[in-house]
Amino acid sequence: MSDMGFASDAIEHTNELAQKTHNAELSSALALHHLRLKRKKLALCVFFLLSIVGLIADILIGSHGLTFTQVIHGIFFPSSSDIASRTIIWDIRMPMSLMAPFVGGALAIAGAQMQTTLNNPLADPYTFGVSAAAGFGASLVITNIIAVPFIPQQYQVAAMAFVMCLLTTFMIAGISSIKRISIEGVMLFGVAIMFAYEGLLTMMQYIATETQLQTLVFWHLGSLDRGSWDKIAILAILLPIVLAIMMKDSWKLSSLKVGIERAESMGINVKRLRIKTLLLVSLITSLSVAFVGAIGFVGLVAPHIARMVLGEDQRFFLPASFLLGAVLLELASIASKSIMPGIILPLTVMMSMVGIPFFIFLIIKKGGKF
Amino acid sequence: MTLKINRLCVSFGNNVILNNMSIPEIYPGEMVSLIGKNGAGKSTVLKQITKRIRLDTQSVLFAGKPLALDDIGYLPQDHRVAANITVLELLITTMHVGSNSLFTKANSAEKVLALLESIGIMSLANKICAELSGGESQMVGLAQAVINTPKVLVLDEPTAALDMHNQFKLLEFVKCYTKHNNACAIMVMHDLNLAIQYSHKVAALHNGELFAYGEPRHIIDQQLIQNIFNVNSQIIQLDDYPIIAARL
Repeated sequence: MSDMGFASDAIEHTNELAQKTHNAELSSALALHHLRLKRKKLALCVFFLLSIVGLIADILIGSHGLTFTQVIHGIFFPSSSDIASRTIIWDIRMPMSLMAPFVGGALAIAGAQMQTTLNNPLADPYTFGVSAAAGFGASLVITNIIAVPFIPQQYQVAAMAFVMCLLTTFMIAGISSIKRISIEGVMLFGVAIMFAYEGLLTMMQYIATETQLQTLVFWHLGSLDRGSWDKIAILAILLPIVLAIMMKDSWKLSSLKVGIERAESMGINVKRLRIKTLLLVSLITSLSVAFVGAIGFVGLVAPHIARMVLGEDQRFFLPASFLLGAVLLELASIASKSIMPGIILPLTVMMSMVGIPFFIFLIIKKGGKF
Repeated sequence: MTLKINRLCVSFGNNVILNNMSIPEIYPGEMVSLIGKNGAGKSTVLKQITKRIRLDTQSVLFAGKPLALDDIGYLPQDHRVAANITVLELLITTMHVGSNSLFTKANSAEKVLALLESIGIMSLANKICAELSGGESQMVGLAQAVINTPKVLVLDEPTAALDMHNQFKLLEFVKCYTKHNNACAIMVMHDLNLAIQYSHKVAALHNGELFAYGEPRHIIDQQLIQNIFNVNSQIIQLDDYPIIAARL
């Protein structure tokens, strides 16, 4: 009898142990998940702080040697600072510097969403020729070949850039929705588009007058000094709206990663989601490109860093891409002013120096398989 | 609450994949296996069921109405998720696919963990999907298919990437799930022995048509295997179960 009692005690003890181990396993899995969530939130805060620091640093740096206190005083108490520093800070540096986070963020979320909806890690407004399309659109207006009706003169370039951008993004969306065309095929199509527009742009440069040519080349190089308060206002109003619409779809966008067929079986209208997202992408890309010119690789690099750090939960991935894009362009802007004092190097050059090695790194890392 | 598949017709150009194919009613709690050789149209049947827009709205009916996607849990053949996202996050995402809010529903992580535990893959909870093995992602795919407790499970070769232990683990789970949730499962199976063991009914497809339908022990015989697979086989009875072996 006592043996039996011992046996049942032992069984009970084992069951208890198993239950405890199981509970421990459950709570450790839960704890790990919550830790990951906390880390993501922390990373977002860090990126946000970095973008603020980057912005202030960008305003601080310039050819006219203003001190830190002068700049801070000029930003927060403009009425009591002297006219010269007020003009430098409010009319020159701030419009330029504030363009960086907006344009960088816009291009980064454009890249992030092109990568998500086209399921292609190398997609970016620049690599897919969307920026080149905007450039070509702008060149049509600059050389007086086309004028968009009902649009004021100062927005003609932006409007035409937008139209071309839209057309190109939809061509890419159309091609990528054809089932038998692989992701590599879509990529090659993007490259072909880029070359086509570059060719057309060269033709436009050839037929342009000397002044037009100067404007064209300058436009194409990409520079933040085209920044102005009204452009900033447009981006500041539009970007949060676009971001909010995309964030609303974040569960659906994250689900696209499981494959189109399966996403559809979950009730997601993939085609509609893709078109809607690409429409938003072309809106923000074309505005950014129209405002500051074609700046490459922000849309490629920022989302990839965001993905590596935070994973692909779009609720975190999207804002992180935006903030990292902002930081990247702020850094590029700082670098463009600091490398050769007195000269502002073109942003495209700065971004290419970071972007191209990163692009090659991605190809090597993925072994060409997407 | 029965599932009815009526007169499915699919063709690509002159190539007819499904020729007016119907499957008799599938009842709640039933598991039905589609068998047939490659190209017989098995996966096409599943794709027609899970399609967002069906050309003929009456072709797939559930409880008399066109089957809604919310009622389907689908595990496709190609189920790998090449993303930097953990299994837990993936399943939470699937839980919230229809939601417009950025916040997760209460206790969603706990619910997912409970499901992972019942499938026996809780250890995978915090693993990154892109780093899972083929078998592991198959099990995760199953969890994803059932996370929203669908009434119709559609499984395309669910045991293809699995070892023997996991094959039984997966099918036992599907069996339990269909029984407890009064759901029906329709699955493409290549392993006839597993199909016999785990299906209430078997639908043998041949050249885009339903060749035979019924209880596996009644319809799977040497003649059927010869007809649809063109394989000479031998059937051995073991504990009341027929075991099929190819005769070379």
